[in-house]
Amino acid sequence: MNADDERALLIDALAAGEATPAQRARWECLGGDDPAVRDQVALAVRLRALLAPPDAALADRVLAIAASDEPAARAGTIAGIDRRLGSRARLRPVRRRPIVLQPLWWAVAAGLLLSTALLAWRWSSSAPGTPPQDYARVERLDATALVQVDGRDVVAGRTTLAAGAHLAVRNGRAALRFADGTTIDLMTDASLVAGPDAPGRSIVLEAGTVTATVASQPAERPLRIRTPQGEVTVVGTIFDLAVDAEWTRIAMFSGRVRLAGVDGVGAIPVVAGQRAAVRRGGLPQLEEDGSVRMPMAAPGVAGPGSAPTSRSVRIGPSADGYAWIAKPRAVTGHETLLAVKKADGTDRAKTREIFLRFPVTWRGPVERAVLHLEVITPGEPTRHALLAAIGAWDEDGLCWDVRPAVQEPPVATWPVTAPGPIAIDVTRAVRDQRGDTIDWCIRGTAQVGPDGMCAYGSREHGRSGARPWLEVTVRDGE
Amino acid sequence: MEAQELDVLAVRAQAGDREAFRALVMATQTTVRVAIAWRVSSRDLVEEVLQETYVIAFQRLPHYRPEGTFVPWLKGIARIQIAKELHARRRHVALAGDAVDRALMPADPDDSGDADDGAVAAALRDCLAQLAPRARLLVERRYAEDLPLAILARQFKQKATTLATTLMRIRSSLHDCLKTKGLTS
Repeated sequence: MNADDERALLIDALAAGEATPAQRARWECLGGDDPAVRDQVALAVRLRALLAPPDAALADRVLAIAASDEPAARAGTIAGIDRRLGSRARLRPVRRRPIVLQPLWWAVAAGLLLSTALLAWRWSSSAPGTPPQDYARVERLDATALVQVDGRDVVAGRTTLAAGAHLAVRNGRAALRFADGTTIDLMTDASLVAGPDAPGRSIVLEAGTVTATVASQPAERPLRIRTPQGEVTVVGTIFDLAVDAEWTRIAMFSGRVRLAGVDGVGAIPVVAGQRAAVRRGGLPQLEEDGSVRMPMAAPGVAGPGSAPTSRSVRIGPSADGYAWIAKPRAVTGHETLLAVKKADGTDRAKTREIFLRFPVTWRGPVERAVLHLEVITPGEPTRHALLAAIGAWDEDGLCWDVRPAVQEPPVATWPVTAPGPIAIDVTRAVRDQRGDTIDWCIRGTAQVGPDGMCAYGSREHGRSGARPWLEVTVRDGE
Repeated sequence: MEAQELDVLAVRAQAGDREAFRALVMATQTTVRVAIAWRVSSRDLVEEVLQETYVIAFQRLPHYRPEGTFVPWLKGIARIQIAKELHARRRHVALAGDAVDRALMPADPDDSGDADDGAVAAALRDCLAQLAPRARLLVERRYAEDLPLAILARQFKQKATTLATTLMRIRSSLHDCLKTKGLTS
């Protein structure tokens, strides 16, 4: 597909609100800065507004929201949920699309219907008394993830979480998926207990960091997430929630929730773009200036899968960005994606290198260290290398002209073939570090073609699971 | 529907007639949606502001004075909601937005100023009427019927990429048409 075709499809998808993260990542490459491209998107949105027939269900939704007299109810009815964040629940009312089926498809559809009915019957007979709309399923997101439900390892692809069950992520990442489309991504060391009555309606987050993408909830029956310090009432939104021994912190990406102390005291609304926190025994407060970052360096909780004298620490980068030959003075430190590409010859100007910095916040001997990245768009299959970066740099000034030098040989190399999380063993490099920070460069090891640019999530990425992080396991008591 | 007819419905809605309110929403939503779409470039945002506008309109209905200004009253509410939404989203975009978010975020909700969106909409309809029949059909199926490109590709016996490019050319011609009328799209 040539760039013109790709640009035309991207404009169409953006105007329809259907652009995928991979398409959005190509925006700049396809001339998104050109005002004519922006005009195209705007005109397509206006054409749709002008020509679309009236929404017959709009008045009923409005009356339902107004009748609920609950401000939070509005957040879930139509969320301006950002498709950057990937497989988001589409909370916009289902659009009218005529069903066009050929005779063969009628047969396929009938078969599917029959299969669905059989599955539903099997479900109802195997789990009597469990409302199907409230089930929650556990999925391991990394091949190496160690996830336990009630102390037993989750080895199959999916496990249903029963009411009252205890879920713990000892290593890697996991996702909890509810029947209504709600997804909760859990990071290493996160642990929770499913609600006693209906796991899809309430959970108790004991510790760790989660990213919740909550589908529209009935206003009279919202999802409640309790923590040791308080509770969050959700009717449909996307947010990060981090819990440690002292604090519960929330960062809102979309919609609105209510954050309260223990037993619901002092509830405050928290809306998109805001951060708030509640301390043990305290009342929730907004962190208005937005400068408070999620506690990415919070110490983890030692799990039964770890040695009793070990503990894991998860650390977010203190700086990241990429340098690009074609724009030698462009500063990318606040981009949501980190781009990397190796190109030679006439294509050389497209070469990009990523730089990452992690603060050294742990003490004690390092048993194991793993760098976690998420590939958002892989480009062409290739291989990347991690090298030590030497010299001063900062996020607000990093560009090709002043990028730090790098030291051969690579700390590690890995193949890149598909979107998704990648875990890189960096134990030796972390053990050998001597400074207050660890600085790395990611570069391609082989030349790729025009479509070969790869993008990883940066620390500014909207989904916390896509951001880089370093997991360090250290021995205590030494 | 004439302004006086809308006022009749508004008075009935003020008295608690839900059917009258439904009729008001049906009668005015295209005009309000177009007015919102002239100030923001995101379909999601248009729909979100539209819904919030009617929620507030319903709650403030007792304060509306039936003087033939129901649609301007709604548009005023919509403009305030656009400003609020853009303010909130600007923070979100600054925290977690990508290049697309930044590019499509209007610098100022009043960038479109006091442009008469009704006049621009009428001009756009006029420009649409000047399109070749096949181009008009494609636009109607994509934007009025909301058919995906994959289905349109089967109907028009062309590749989806070809149709997307055709739609881009059609939009360019509509843009030029509006320019000749002294308007911008």
